[in-house]
Amino acid sequence: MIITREIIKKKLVDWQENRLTNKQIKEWAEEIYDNKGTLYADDEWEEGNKVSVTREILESLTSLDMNLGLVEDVPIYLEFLKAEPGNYALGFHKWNIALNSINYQERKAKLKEIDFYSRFCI
Amino acid sequence: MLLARGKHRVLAIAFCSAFCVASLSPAIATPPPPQGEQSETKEKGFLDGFINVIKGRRICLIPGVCLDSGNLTEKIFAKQIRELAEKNAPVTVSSDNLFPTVGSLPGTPFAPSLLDLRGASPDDVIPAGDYVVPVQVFCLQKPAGSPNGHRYLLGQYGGKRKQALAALNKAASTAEIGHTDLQNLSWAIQAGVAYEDMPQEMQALADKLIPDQRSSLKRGWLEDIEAAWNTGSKILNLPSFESFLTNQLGDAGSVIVAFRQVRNRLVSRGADWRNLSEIFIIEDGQQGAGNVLNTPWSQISESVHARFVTDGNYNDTGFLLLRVEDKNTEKTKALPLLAIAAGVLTAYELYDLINTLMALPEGNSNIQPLAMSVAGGAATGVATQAACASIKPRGRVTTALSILCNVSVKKPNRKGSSGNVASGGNRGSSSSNSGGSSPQQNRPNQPSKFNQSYPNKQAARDAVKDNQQLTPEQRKAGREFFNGANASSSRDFRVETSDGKTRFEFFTPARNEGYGKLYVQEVDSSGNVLREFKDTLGPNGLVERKFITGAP
Repeated sequence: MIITREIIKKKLVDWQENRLTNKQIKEWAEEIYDNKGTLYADDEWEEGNKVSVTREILESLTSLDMNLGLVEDVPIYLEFLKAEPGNYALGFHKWNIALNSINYQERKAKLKEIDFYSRFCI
Repeated sequence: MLLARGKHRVLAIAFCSAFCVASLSPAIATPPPPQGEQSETKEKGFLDGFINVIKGRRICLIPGVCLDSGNLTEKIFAKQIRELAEKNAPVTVSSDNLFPTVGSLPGTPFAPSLLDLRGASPDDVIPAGDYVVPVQVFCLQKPAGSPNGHRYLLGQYGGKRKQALAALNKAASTAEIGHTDLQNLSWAIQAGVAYEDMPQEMQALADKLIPDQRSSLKRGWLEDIEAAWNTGSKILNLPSFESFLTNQLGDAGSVIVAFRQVRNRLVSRGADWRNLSEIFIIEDGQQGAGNVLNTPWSQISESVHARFVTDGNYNDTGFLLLRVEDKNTEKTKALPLLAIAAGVLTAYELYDLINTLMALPEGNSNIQPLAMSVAGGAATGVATQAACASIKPRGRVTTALSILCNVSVKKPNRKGSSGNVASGGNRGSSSSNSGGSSPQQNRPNQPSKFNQSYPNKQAARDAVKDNQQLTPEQRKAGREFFNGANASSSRDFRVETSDGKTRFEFFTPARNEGYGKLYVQEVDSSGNVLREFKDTLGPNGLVERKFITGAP
């Protein structure tokens, strides 16, 4: 399967608009990410490393519970998807800044009673 | 090239902010008084039990510290107070106790592994290699600023309560206690506050962390200074102790003022007793020197070089970088180096060193010196990320410094071990067969068994590509597996081969501090995947294992 940014974007919007639950989008991401046959349409090489916005976001979604990700973070993902080819590093830098600005301690406190997240709120 | 300690004398004036023993301190040691003023003597013992005794023309400021009252001037009085303060200072911080610095780190480029000291026995040996040890830091002594990203030089603090402070730093490495509470107890120890004068909560913390040191936390130092003041100030008709201290004793006087505030605040047990940072941390808006990766290396012993690097301040996790070499040579007596028995650095000696280290701000006397403690929770594979994550969200970590987070994990060697495959140091390049492994790891009679670690994806891929100990099929499988790693955050890349089976693994930390995923693939000699799984790890270990290929 070839996974494109458009596919990711559609799923993120589905999640944002409550057509997918947290659990469903994580499971969807795992199914694709763990599939050895998956190809990423936006693969590019940067300083000897193969990088892909699509792959990065997909990997993040596979760890949605562990990363205490919430639907309110979707704009951060969508912004990263806008990174232009050849500009992965800049996009990744902005994505990192946005995700690092989240107060994960606060989220832990907020999410500890929710089954999906509770085991990552110790 | 070694720089003699004397080179730092210029800095001493800036650094030696508080209680440097007079004979050691060019910064605050008062020059010898003129001939006519040399009338004070110290008479010990015979006035025990009396305070402020005037005996004829002799005045004893406190028992054992007496001088001729006829010649008592404010200057002589100040000198006497200074000597009294220096003599029994709980903690001394002096640029005279810096280790010598070197112009550049001798040998190969620095290629560190994270040194995991958890569970290490005191006798365990730190193998030769390059290491990064995350450390939590604490203010030492003076009211000053603590800007982000300053450079520091390494030395050792001293003083009557050195052992108590070192014990606290050691206990801090394993205690799950907040930094504020640890720093407050540290300040109380530094200020000479007696155990009985501490609030109950602080006493409980001392009981928990440093029970053996309780008897050393006695009254005396501040009280002697105050008793001497009470006597001398009446004779000289001096109105204000605080003015006298700051005007006559400079930085050392300011520190005594601060320490009295600490004691008084703790004794009063007012609502603000926990806010000791108000006394010590001066928010003056000054900037750190920056360029922290240019922090000079210090030679700690014949076989150990170190430097402390931080992008943060007294409240952040910093990094102690170490190079341990295989050198079993006699200590060079001309150099003020730490003596390490038999040239072998043990876990005990390393803890002892770190707990007594001071990091003195380079070239700026208005910045807090720092003490440090191994960041216990950070010294794990998962918490390699935790150490970095603890500072990353604050947005102060430079790209250069974040590289230090991106390292593999090593443990000390068990005593008597010849260097097991999982515990070698990582010296020199980490991307070749010689890198990432101790000399014992490449024993020629066991070519089919090895274990190598690499700090990042690129190094791992390069090493696998050229590794003749893997079959071509295994090399291909390894490259493909490592291709899947996150280029920026994955770390702890490892290749283990035994009996024809090769295991590749790497770790990707979560943004949620303390968690992450360990990706593992095992292949046979033909490169066929036997098992592939990912372990979700958390603070308490394995959270779950998911198999991608192969049976559990």
